[in-house]
Amino acid sequence: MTLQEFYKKTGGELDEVLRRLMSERLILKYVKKFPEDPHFSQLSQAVAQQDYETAYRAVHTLKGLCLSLGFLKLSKPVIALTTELREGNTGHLQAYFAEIAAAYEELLTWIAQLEG
Amino acid sequence: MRIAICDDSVLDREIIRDFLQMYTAEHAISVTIEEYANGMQLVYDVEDGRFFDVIFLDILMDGLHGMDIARNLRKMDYNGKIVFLTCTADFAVDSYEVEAAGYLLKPHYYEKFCALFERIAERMPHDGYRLLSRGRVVVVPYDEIVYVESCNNTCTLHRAGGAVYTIYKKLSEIEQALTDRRFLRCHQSFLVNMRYIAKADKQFELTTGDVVLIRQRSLREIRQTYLDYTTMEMKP
Repeated sequence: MTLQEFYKKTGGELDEVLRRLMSERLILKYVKKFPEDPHFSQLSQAVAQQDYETAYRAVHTLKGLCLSLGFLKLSKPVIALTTELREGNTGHLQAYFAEIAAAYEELLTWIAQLEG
Repeated sequence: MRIAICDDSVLDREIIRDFLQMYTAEHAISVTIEEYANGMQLVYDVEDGRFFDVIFLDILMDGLHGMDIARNLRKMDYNGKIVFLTCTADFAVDSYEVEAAGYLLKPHYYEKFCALFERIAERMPHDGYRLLSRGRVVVVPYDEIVYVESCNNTCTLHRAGGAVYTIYKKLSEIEQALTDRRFLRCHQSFLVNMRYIAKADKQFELTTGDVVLIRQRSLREIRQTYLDYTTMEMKP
């Protein structure tokens, strides 16, 4: 899968990401490193332990990464959970997290198919 | 210019590092970059005397909040530039309290990074060695450093125009800080700015009239390094 095809799947636009990050080589480098980023697993652990403060920090960082890398499909549930936690709403944590987990797993399979 | 990037996300740190490398390549300035995954280590290092011209500081990290890190730094009389990295401008009012130089909103955007960094960097002396002289911080531009001599664990920096400064550091530490290719450690006790070399024989004679010793067992390599430097300087 090319970077162009990859971005069609993520809901983002390669041109938009390129305008901000300047180089396809750099974008590819960051995208390929994204699976190693620990913030999703930190979020997962924090949700399981009902540690809302850690969950907020983890999802907040994930939000920044999704927006910077143009992962718009994943960013939607991530932004939703970030907002909920910032406003102190912890009632539907599991449901929000489940959406994030599904989008995250999907993204990782696409990243695995990337060329280069 | 010494830069610190403090963010608990490796990827975010890498993006800022790459932005800095792109910027410095386009603007022919040199930077050294130190990365921190947590704010407390940064605070400890600054407390121990590390200085950074610019600190890029994430607002929300594990451990201390970025704003608290900034407050701690200012309490220690840290007077370098602080730039916040954040997803939101909500804290903007608080940032005045710590005299932040600005903030970079995520998603990361190179053009916006450039605009901010240009504004910060143009007010800063480029490529200078920072030292304490009579209780004040003095920045000696690289161009004006003629040579540094070491004697009994004390160094003397000789500046163009005749000023001399005593530095209580090992010459190897100063050598590490002067990351520009014009500087050559030519002897156990001497570090010279090759720009000031008038003649290279068994020792260097400088345009100022000073003489700087060359380590004799490495005479050939040291003179070759100087020759390579002069050849590169002549290229258009």
